[in-house]
Formats: sequence, structure tokens, C-alpha cells
Amino acid sequence: MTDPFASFVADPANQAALSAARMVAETPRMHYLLLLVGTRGSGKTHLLRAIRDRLAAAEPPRTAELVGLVRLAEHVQAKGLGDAGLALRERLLRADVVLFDDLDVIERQLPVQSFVFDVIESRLAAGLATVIATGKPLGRLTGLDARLARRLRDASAVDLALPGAPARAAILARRIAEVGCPVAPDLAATLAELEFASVKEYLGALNRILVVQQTTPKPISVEDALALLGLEREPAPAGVPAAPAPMAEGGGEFDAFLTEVMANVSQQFDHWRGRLREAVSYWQGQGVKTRRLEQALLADSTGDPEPIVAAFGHDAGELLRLGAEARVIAPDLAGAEIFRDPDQLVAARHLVQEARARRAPLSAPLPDLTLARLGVGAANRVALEALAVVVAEPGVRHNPLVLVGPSGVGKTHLLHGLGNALMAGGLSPVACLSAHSFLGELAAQRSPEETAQWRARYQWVAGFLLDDVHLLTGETRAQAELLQIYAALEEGGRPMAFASARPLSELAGFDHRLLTRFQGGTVVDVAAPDRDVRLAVIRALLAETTAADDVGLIDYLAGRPADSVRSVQGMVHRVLAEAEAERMVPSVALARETLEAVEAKPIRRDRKPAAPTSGILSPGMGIVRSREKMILQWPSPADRLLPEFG
Amino acid sequence: MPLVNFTAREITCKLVYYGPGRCGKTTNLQYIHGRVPEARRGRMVSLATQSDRTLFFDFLPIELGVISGFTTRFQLYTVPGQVYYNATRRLVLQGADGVVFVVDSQARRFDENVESFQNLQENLLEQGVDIRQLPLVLQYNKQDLPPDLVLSAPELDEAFNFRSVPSLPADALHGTGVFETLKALSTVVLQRLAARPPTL
Repeated sequence: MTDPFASFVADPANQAALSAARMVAETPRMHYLLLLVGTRGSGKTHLLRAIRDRLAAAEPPRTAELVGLVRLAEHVQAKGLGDAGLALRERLLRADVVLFDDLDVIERQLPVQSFVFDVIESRLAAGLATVIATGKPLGRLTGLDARLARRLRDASAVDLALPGAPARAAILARRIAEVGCPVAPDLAATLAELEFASVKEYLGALNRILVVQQTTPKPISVEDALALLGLEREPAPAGVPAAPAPMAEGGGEFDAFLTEVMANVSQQFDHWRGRLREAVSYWQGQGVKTRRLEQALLADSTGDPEPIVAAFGHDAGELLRLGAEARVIAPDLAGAEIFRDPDQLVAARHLVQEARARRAPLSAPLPDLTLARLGVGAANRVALEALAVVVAEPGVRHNPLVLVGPSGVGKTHLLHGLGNALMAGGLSPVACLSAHSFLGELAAQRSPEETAQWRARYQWVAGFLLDDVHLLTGETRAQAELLQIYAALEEGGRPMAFASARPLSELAGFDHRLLTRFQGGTVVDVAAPDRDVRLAVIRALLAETTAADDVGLIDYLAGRPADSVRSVQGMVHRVLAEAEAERMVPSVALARETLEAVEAKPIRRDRKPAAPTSGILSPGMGIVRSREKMILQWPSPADRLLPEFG
Repeated sequence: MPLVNFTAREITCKLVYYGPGRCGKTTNLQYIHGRVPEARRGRMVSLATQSDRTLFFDFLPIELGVISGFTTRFQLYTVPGQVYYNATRRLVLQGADGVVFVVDSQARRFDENVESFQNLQENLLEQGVDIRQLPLVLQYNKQDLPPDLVLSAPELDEAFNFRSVPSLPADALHGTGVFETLKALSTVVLQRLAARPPTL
């Protein structure tokens, strides 16, 4: 096969473009973007076709896709890109070389420009060559997509101009030879001297002459040929310099040199750009913002791109890991924008650290202490109603709720019950702990960082319930931490409840900011258990025993004096323990014997110490007798054995 | 190092032809000038004496067009070879991105070659440039002369090329090896673009 470039007549006006086109045809799989800039009819399309044909004839054959942007633009205007566009894109990305012709026809056609840009970018990222021909210099193209314009500025641009007269004559002579028609010997040279805008117009003029020539065997004279075109031969004015000669002998040396320089420069810049583009493409595919790499690309520096790519990769990798962790430990952070931007890595680290902290185990409400198991009575009815409002509208009303009452009246049960109810309503996590635990946890934090993490755990909870808050009196550090936690929870509209065994007005040494916040909430007094409460507590405790329906026992226990729920529970537990020890059914008699005997002890303790005695305890009577009485009434050993050993 | 102006998107390389008097430096430039398309070459500035000896220096600018988005220019200089123009040589050497040391292959010019090569090293050192760090190509010119008059390329390599830099036999008068020399130097010079530390 003849060399496709052989039909291209070399001329100083197009020599550089010819060299560049040859280079692309000879080294197709090269990271390269070449821009052929030339007026209409200067030979751009000819060169593109020559590249395509040379590659097709290569061994092994290479694929070159020549895309006329005129047709593509028409197709897009008529039907949009659609599936055909996708298929074309796939084909173009597979080709060894892509050749876009007539870039200037897609001015202001952004969809087509976007398509071209996407193909160029993808091919550059893959290290593949793309050649673009345009009838206008880059600076004169209007309505060009900014990304495409920027990319084209990075291209190697070579100009083509209308070849000089000798080259035009050679082109025309070649056409005459192809047609095989006898013409006047100097016809080609004469036509080449005329002024037309493009080679196509020269060929058009020749064609008009050849059509007539084919009707007659006699060669048409030059004068007649010019007359056919409506022109006359003009004598060359004296002193006019001859048309520039075709390439001087040895001009190929400069072309080879130019090709070498282009390859070297491209290798430096395009390798740099290619590596960065490849990284941009990869990380964008991973959903990561690549602003830093794009800035590096814009900076257009040379050198080893690997440190920049590696540093970005390191950050982006860590960011993705953080994002993945966040999805697991904090679903509310899933998909957050911050996990897509490596420039926000520090903030992302901080966010995940907080998420880790808030995921650490918390003191949760005790599952047994539910509101359902709480005895209800006048003493705690108001508190229960307030709790019901908190459960219905957590964080909205009664925030904070402060339960005040003496020890053992059921505040702890109310708090844990509230916590369980909030969790049952979907809030999670809910922290429920005593001030004693709060102080212990805080004391265990050894550094400000640890304290901050510990604090963060509570700042992120969905509900915060703190028992025995009066124990924080005088604990300045703990109050300061609680204040910070309070502020975060209040800002987030999350429910808080506190319990204090002492009235708020008696909490001396309390940070006034904290105290006023408590007082600004809903303060509910919880009184000593009334009979109803006691009945409910007793019924609940006896529910699983054989005395569940013993009304007399329940009534007896409820009638016993008790200043707290805890003491009621204590009574019931003592009776049940005694019954179990004696293997008896719990009854009023047993309860009376157990509880009243216990009650008697403090009375004896109040008595004056007994006079010294022999210390002999009378068996079966539980009282101390004098030695003399004992000896006098001492039974015979035979009588003694029966009750003592029988 | 080649001047890369990222704002103006220009690359300018200054290449200097160095060597003893009458070794063929100007001939190299003249040949190149004759082969570069008119549109791509500037005016060759040559200040010569009546006997065609370079008095000051030759200067040939070459426009290579837009390559990878950068307007690329090569500026070719020669230095006067005569020993008494050392100040001019130093001046021309300033900011050179690469040097072609043109060796006159005639055996009888051997000492002058050595002297000029040493002078090159001294002048570079004075400017704080280590010749080992500068792109350098050796051109063994006048290899077209009868073999009994010239030293062969291996012999000249033995004498001058102890750093194993690219070396090429040439006949500058007829163009043999002229562009090859320029290509070899431009390759080494342009590869140093990669040595530029990345800036963001």
C-alpha cells in the first residue's frame, strides 16, 4: 500500500503539521493532544484521513476513529446523544487514535462540546492520542465550554496555511494525472498562480476545465481555460519575488528535530498532566472531590507528579475509610459531604472521633425499673403525669424535669422508668446514671482530650437522666462538665431529667447557671409513699408468690408505717425471706411475728443495761434468769434431754 | 534550566555552541539557519571580522510553535573561539541551558580543543555551574577530512568524553550530524523540565 501521506503535498506552510501528523500515525498509543489549526481547504481533513489510513495499514492494524463534528452536531441537534452517543463514546475510548474534524462548527453547542471534552479527558487519562482539526485558531473560537477551552490550551498546536504556488501546482498536476486527460502543459502552474481561498477552490476550477476538456481531444489552451473561468492571464509584474519554494532540500531534518522536541516536551508535560488526570478520574470515580489535584493540574508544573498523587491518595483513602466507619457507627453522618472532600480531612477525623465517643457504652436505664412496675399513688401521681408528657414530647415540654424528694421515695425508679419509656419510643441512646457514677467517670479521665471525648459521649445522647444530682454539691469540675453537656442537649432539644434528694433551694455550692437551669425546668416533688403506693408496691412484690391473693397480708403490710418505697420493699422482702426460711406460706401471723419482733429490738436497746447475771439463757423462753433461780428450777437431766435433744 | 514561564505559557531554551576558534560553531548555526523554515526562524545575528571570525557571538532564535500548550523557543548562541575573547564567552555562557562543545577533529588542533574544554569548565565554575550538572553534547566536527588528519570519534571520546555524554561525529559544512547534535542536546535539556520541583 502506498503511503497515505504521499498524496499530501508538502509545503513550508504545512510542513510542521505534516510532521506532527506523521508522528501521531507512527506512535498512536501516546499521551497526546494535537490541534491542527488551518483555514478552510488548507489540508486538515487530508491529514486526518492520512493518519487514519496509515494506522489501518499498520501491522498489526490500529484503529483510528475519524469523527466529523458537523455530522455529530446535526445528530445531537436532531436526536440528542442518547444511546447512540454512549455507544460512540465507548468506541472512541477504545480507539488507538481519535480524530475530530471541524471543531469550529460546534461553537456554542455545549452538549457536543461536553461530549468532545469527556472523550478527550478519558483518552488523555488512558494515555491515548487525540487529534483535533479546527478552521479557527483557539483564540477566535467563541462559545467554547471553559473546560474544553482550557484543555485545548494544553494541546500542541500546529498551523496549516494555504500552500504556496509551487505546491498548489503540484496538487493540480496530480489531479490532472489522475483524470488522465490531455491538457496544456502549463495549465497547472498557471492555475496555481491564481488567487483562490482554498485548495478546494483551485481543484474546483480545474474540474470545470477538465469537464470541458473531456469533450474534445485537442488540449484546451491556457487562455481558453482561463476564459472558461471568466479570467484572463495576467503577466507577472517585473520585480515581484518568486513564490516561495517548496521545502528546501533537507527541510526534513528540521521536521525530524521538531518532532523530537515535541515528543520530549509532550512527554514532560503530558506525563505530568496525564498522571494527574488519571488520578482525578480515579478519585472522582470513587466519589471524592479532586479540587487539590485539579489545582495542581492548573498550576501546570512539571516534575514528578507522584508525591502529589500519593499525598492526595493517602488523604482520600483515609477519608473513605472514615466515611465507611461513620456509616456504621453514626448513620446520621452517612453520606455527609465532608467525607467526599480530602481538604476537609481534619474536620472529618474530628467528626468520626466524636461519633466514636458517643458510641462508647453508656449507663443505660435498668430494664427492670419500668413505669409499669411503679406503684402509683397520690405521692407520685404528679411526677408520673409529667413523665408521660416528657415521653410524649421528648425535649419539648418539661425540659428539664427535676424530681425532688427524700431518699427512697421512688425518684430513681421514676428516672429509670422514664428512660425505658423514652427508649421504647425510639430514642437511643438514653443515658441514665447516678451523680456518683458521673463523678467516678469524670475522675477517670486523665487528660483534657479524654475529658472532651467523655463529655462528647453525653453531648450526643438522645436523652440524659441524672440521679442524685445533689451529690454534685461542691464538685466544681463536675458541675462545669454537666453545664457543657446540658448546653449541648438543650441546643439539640433532647430530653433531660434530674433527681435530687434535697430541694433545689438547699443546694448550696452549686453553680448558679446550672441551678437556674434546673429551676427553669419543671420541678416536681415526690412525697413519701401513701397507702395506695404502698399497696401497689406490695402487690407487685407478692404477685409471683403464694400470697399474691392474701388480702389480709397485703392490707397488714400496707398499714405498717413506712417513710419510703424502699422501706415497704424491705418489709415485704423480710417477710418473704422468713417464710422461705421457715418453709411456711407468708401470712399475717408470720409477718407480724417477723416485723414486730424486729421492731421490738430498738426498744430493748433503749433500756438501761441489765444487772450483771450469770448470763444463762433459759431455753425456750428468751429471757435471762438469775443463777440461783436457774439452779433451783433446774430439771433433772432425764427431763432435759427430751426437749433439748429430742 | 530551561526557562518555563507558566503565566505566559512559554518555554525558552538557551543552547550555546562552544569550542576553539575555527572549529565550526558558526557553521553549525548557519546550516541550521538554512534548514529552518523562514516562518520559524528569527534573524541570525552574526558579528564577524573581515576574515569571518566571530567577533562577538552568533545568535539564532528558532520558534518551534505551540507544544503541549507552551510556545517553545530555542535560542542558539555561539561563542568567539579566540582565547582573547574570554569575557564574551563568559557572558554568553550565562544562563545557558545546554552546551554543545564542538571539537575540531584535526589532530593538530588537539591541544586547542583541550584548552577550550578546560576554559569551558573554568568559565562555568566561575558562574557556579558544575559542568557535570549541565546538559552537554560533544560534536566531533570535520570528520569528513582525510582520516590521517583527524582523530577518530573513539579517540576523541577517550580524550574528552569521560562523563559518557552524547557524542556525535559531524561535518557541519555539509550538515552531517548538525541536526543530530541539536536533537541530542535538546533531548537532554528538555528532560530537565522534569527535574523542576513541583509547585502548587
